[in-house]
Amino acid sequence: MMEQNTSDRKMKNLTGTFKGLFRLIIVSYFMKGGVGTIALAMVLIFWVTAFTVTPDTITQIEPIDTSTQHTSDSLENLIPPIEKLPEFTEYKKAQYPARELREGVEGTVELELVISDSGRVTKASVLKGVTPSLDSAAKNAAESFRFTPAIAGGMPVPVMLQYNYRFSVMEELDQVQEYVNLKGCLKERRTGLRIKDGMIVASFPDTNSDTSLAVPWNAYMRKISTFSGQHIEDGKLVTMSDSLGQFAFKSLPPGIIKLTFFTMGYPVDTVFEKIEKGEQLTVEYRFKEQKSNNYEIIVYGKMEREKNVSQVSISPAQISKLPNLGEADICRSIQLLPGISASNENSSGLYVRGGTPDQNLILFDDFNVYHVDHFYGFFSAFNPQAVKEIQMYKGGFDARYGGRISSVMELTGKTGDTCKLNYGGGLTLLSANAFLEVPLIRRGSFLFVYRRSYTDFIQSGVYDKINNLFQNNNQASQGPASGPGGRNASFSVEPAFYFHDLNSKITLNIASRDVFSASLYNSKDNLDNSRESQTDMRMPGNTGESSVSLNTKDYLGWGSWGASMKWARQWADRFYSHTVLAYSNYFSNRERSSEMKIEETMQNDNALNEDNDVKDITIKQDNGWRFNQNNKIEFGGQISRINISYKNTQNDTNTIMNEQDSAILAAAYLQDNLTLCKDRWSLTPGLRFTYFKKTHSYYLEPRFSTSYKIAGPFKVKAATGRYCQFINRVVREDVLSGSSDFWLLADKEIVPVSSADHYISGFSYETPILLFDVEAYWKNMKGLTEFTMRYRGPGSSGMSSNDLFYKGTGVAKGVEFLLQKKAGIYSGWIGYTLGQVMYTFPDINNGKTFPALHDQTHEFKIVNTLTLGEDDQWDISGTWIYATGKPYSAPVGEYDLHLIDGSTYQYIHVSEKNALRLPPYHRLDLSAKYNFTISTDHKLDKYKGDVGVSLFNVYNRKNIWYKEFESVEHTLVETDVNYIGFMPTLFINIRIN
Amino acid sequence: MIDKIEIILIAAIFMVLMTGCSNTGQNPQYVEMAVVDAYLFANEPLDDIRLSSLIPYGSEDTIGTPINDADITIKQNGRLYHLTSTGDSGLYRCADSDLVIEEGKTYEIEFKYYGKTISAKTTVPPKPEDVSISTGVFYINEDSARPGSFRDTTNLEYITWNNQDTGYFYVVIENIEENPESIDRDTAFSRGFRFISMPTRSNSYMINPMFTFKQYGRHRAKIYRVNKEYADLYERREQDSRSLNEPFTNINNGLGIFTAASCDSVLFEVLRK
Repeated sequence: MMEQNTSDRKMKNLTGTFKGLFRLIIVSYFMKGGVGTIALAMVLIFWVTAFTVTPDTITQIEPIDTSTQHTSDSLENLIPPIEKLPEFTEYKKAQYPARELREGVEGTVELELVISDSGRVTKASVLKGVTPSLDSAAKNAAESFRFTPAIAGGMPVPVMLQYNYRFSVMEELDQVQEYVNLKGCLKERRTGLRIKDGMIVASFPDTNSDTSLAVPWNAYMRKISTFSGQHIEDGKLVTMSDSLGQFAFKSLPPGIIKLTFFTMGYPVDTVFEKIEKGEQLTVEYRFKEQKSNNYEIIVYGKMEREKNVSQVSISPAQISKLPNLGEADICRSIQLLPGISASNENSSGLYVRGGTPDQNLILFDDFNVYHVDHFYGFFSAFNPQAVKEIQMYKGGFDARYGGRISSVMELTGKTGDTCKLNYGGGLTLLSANAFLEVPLIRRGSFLFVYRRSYTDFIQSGVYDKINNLFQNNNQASQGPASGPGGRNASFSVEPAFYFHDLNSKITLNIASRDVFSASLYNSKDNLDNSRESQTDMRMPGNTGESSVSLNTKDYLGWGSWGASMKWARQWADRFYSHTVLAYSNYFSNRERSSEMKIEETMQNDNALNEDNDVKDITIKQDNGWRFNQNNKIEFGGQISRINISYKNTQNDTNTIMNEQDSAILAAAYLQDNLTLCKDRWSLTPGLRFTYFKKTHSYYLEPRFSTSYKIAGPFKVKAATGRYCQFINRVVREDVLSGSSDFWLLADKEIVPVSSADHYISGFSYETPILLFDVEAYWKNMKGLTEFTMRYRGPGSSGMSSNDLFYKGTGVAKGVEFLLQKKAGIYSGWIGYTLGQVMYTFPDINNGKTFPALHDQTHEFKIVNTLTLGEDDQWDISGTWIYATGKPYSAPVGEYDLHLIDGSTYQYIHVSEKNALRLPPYHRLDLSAKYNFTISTDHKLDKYKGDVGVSLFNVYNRKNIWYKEFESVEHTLVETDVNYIGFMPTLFINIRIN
Repeated sequence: MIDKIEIILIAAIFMVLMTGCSNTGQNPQYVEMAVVDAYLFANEPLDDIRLSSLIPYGSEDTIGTPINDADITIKQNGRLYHLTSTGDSGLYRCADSDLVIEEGKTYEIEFKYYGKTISAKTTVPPKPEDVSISTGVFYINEDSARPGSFRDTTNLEYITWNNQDTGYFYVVIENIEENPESIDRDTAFSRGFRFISMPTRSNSYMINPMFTFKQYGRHRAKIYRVNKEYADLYERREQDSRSLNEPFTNINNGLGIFTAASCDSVLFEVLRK
């Protein structure tokens, strides 16, 4: 008996008192008080609480005291059962005491209510309270409740019941309305350019004494952080500026707030604003462009914008501080990041995670750039003075981008000053540059930047060193003469060379929601191989000598044109669109003509023109719709028409060759940017769908990336996707023929559509000062092509293109480490990459897998920058790069073969393809830059500039570019062709405004 | 904590570097390889086949060591023909006069060398059809026919043939005079000048008299139809030292070429204008 459990006992009591209920009710009705009433009440309480609903508000009472059971039993025949329980007809919400609400005091007040037979609460008592104020509020509210009376025996009867009133702060916060009470726009001070993707952080300096809120501060912040467009981070409210630079905060508490702005390319800034209750504050903030001597703009994995896996942002201002090869170089600076090879001095192209440069999508103001370098590949063709921002996606890029299988580099051009005229220039040991900014009716600007080398009339030591590297290489690479005439392929003329590039941009703020911009770009290299000779010689049939003059013009020009027009519109707060019309052209022209005169009489006049051209016209539309705070959908599409032509004419009339190819490429994409778990987990699934008319096929490219903040600064991330490429580049080796890169459209027979599947994962640990990032990647590549011979141009060999290509696959995999100090007088990073790229081509190396030519197992980079001086006048920087050697094939032996025509040819038998490794590559670069300001009496800061020196390869390491093998009398002669040794350069830039 | 991270990171990097060392600059090991130099011409007896060994770099040999003791067989239509060595020059010939090279037939060669079976297969291409030349006589203006002169496109002539199946062809133009006279009196040739084109898949070859001819007299233009293996060998004979590729070969477990060709020719004269 004593072991009965509680529930059994309660059930027994319930059953036992059931009978007594009737008696007690009747007795109570007649007695109206005394023991009967008390007994009745107790029974009723038990009865009602055992079987009625609303567990939140009404709780079960204790079992009836058995000492009264006997009395109830005796009355059971007199008290009828409850037929109907009381029901609310009027409920009054308790007034949450202000102090408790503000302090966040909450809890449940247990009340005992006596409900009369008319349904009114005649008495309310607190059984268990929370605080006196809450108890009193609950009691007062309960006393105003109205019920339908309980019915027993067909008649209303009074009852007593228990009621629990819960006070909840969150329920009070549901009353908080969502409305914008602070909105603004971020603009650049000088140009009026709207600053997108800026992060605005709102903090509240004095929350303790702030009594303007009725609810607890933290609770209120949590509530308003759920409103769309803003979220909470470390106790501060955060929002981002949209594509038109606009931002908004909702339901900010009245009082003083501190706004801190984190914007790419601009210094961190802070303002204080006062929010008045019930009012909306509209502001505009203008930021001064980042000075070049402040390297805090280096961002790597910083801020919310780094939600994309493998994305890096770099500002050109930082690039100007790093050591360079005579010209500040965007691509060379990007090569200092992990995962991007930095040991290719002969190429500014980007080898990103085992990919080749033609596998990168290069966009400048939304148009494709097909040719990205100057001076035989030594410098990139982008003038840092004309570039505002660079975004680099090393892999796993989202569905907005397509057409390449390795990476995306997106450059945004600078805009001019909207307020005043500015101009300036600079000088290096290779080139001079100038810029002009003109405001346009205060609503826009015009910018013009031009750079030209003066290497055609002044050959500095820097020019000689670089030129000799390629000239010597070209002479060494010329093989035995072949073809009609048996011409000797040696060159004794010194060609004249120069390059130039220009950028121009017009930006107009048409209306508050519309921005229009037009951008123009041109880069060109010019090589003049012209020569004149005059000699006296005996002509056939003559006894004396005659004067013979030969005048040969051999002029080569190659480069790119690019243009785009863009209309950006913010249709509504949550919806924007960008419409772009873009044009790109890669060209390569060679004009050769010759005149021969004997005694001033024209004997022969011949001209040959060779044109190689790629034209790309694209129209694209990108849209973004912010569905809610946690969901943004992006969708869009593009149509491109690509024309490739190769034309060879003689004497302007005789067409020797005219090959044309064209294709239409249409793509559409859809992706969703989701954030879950209070913005800790972000996901971006996407799909890109492409139709390539040349193959009459559709290509589906799914994409997915995700990141999750585990705790505080720790984050894990992953990305995957399928990428396709429809155009490939062949690089011609003979530099004296110009940079005749050939682009070939993929088709189903000769050059296949190439594709790659990316798999990326990693984690990062990031604080305001430190970043540690690890990323592993794996790329499966298909449809790769290698060329079977030196490609001299379409149709040059008489063989069909089908015989010119090997086809195969590749796998690139690796892991990257980055440790970066982001802020402070000293900053920099250490990067390390462990990687491998292996190719499999059935027709090469007997089908066995071999390392790609650009495979590098280890690469280690240290980048340091130091800013000194009261006004940050001095920038000192140093970089050190170490990389294990690239692979090469070596001759094993030789043999002779007789050809059908009777000639004998010597062949070299080669080791397994790329089985050997060159020695490690390493070099140290240093630079120092002094930033100065010249003020005049009339205007402060009128002249600004910088002057500096850069030391390349300080300890003159002889890094091997490649090995040459020559069989001399059956002896193998191996020659190392080295990269550039120690090279100092100087530079100066001046800005006048 | 940051110090510990740095230490761990540096230690990890060193460990990886130590384990990542790779072979640099060591010479690959030489392996004995047989080099086959064999051509079959349609409607002709089997030409001598040459076998030699690969010359290793570093060796004092200047020519490949002839292989004189190989047991070579040629197989055609299930029948085996044994070749015998002619001496110590690595040449082999077939004593069986039944072995005739015929168009369209497939021939296989096989022998053993250092424990490996060396083999290859080739099919004799058909003779070029409808070979013709646009003119039987070329007239040279000797005043303008000097070395280095530019093309005078007004006198272009063509050799044509039928190439409906886009086969591989090349043209050899040779002077067949016993004592040919040079066009440029200042230039003398010790023998008949030969000009060899590159392989082509077209059906014509353009002759520019100013370039092609160095001597007067009778010339023969031989149009060879070759197989793809020969065209590949010819085209890839220039090896870029920066990216050495193995020369083309159709010899299994060996080097060299075993191929067949067929030929037709036309005659013409080069005369002084």
